[in-house]
Amino acid sequence: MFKEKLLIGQYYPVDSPIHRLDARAKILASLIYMITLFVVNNWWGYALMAAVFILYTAISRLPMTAVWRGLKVIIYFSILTMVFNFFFYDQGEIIWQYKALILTDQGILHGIAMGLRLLLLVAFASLLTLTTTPIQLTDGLEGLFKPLTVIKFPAHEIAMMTSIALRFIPTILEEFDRIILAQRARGATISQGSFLNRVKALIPLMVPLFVAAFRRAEELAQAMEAKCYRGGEGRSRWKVAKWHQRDSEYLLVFTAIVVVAVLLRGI
Amino acid sequence: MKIRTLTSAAMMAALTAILAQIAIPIGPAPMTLQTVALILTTCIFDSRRAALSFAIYILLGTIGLPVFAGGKAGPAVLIGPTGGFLIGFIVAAAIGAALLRNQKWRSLKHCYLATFTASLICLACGGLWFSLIGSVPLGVAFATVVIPFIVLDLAKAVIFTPCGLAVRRALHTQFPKDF
Repeated sequence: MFKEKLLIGQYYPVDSPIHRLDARAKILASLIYMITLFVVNNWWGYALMAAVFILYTAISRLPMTAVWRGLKVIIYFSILTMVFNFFFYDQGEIIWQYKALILTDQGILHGIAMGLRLLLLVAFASLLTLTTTPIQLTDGLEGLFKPLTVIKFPAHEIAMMTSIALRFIPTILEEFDRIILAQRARGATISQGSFLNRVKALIPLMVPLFVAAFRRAEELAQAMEAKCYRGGEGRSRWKVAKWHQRDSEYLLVFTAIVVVAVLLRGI
Repeated sequence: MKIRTLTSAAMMAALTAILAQIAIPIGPAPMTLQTVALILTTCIFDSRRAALSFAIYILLGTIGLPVFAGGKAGPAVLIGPTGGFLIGFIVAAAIGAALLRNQKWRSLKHCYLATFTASLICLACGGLWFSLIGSVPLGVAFATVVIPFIVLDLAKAVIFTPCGLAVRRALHTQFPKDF
């Protein structure tokens, strides 16, 4: 399960206008959406943001089950946030009171707004990983952070490290299985006994696991040196992400949403 | 950035991803080894590499790979209630490892100091984040997500710090230049 999901992550492969967009455009749009959620301050604003989310899900042709899976993580927490805000908001008319617990009419509205904001924030963010593959996202982030290399931000290196980690997780996992078998052959009991015994049994696994992993890191470093790796400068790519007109148009739509959201503040 | 920094931090991120998948069932919430990765990283790395490896780990999870505790993934986890613990890993690992910067300091006693500090910083970040993202008062947030876990996390530090030191010594004999 873990291994199979490792390469595609949460990506849901269907062909839709959203799936075809450039990863950079999608990352920027998600950021714009998230910031805008903190700009809106009334129900009109929240209605707009919810409408954008629903429309976006419809255009991206994702089945409700896939979207729901992403939401499950957050739904309880937004309910919790809502309830917390019901009771820790002291403005407005008191509806119900029990000792220090006060429920006000404005508190309820405030709580619903906070819960909704959190839900939309997380829901929209998870659409990003549902419509974009991990590799596209890594490349997209590298592209977006490239301007920051001027202030020595290691954009290329971070993307490189992400791909190295991704490539070596299955290898290390195999090695880990082998180490467990080797220690079992020596008489170690790993999944039996009391809790403390199980934890203690992990220690003789850690040392060989780490030494093996860092030996691979050393070998990889030598191989990269031998192939004259010298960072991102002048490095060519096999697949080059192209910025199309549709990506610009897409960002323009999101800019329009920000403008509308700001205008709605006044109502 | 040196190539060896790059490859070893990436490998540590991969190790963290694997450790986070190992769960020991106790009570309703199984204990994962995600925080054990923090303890081990603190013991073996310098603060720069420690912070980098956790940043890569979080990036892996954020772009949708099932590397967070229990196979969770996606930006939802990072923004969600427990996202502060993830961001706290970066801060905690950097500060914890910085405490062990001096080679003479790498005795068991000092390792304990560093891993305890790292665990507490991580918890504090988690509490702050919970309060911020859920617009919940700080005291309530700490009572729900920090205080119940202090004992468990410190217990993990007690058990796994000697393990971290053993790993570091083994790595130091194998690769004296890098560790």
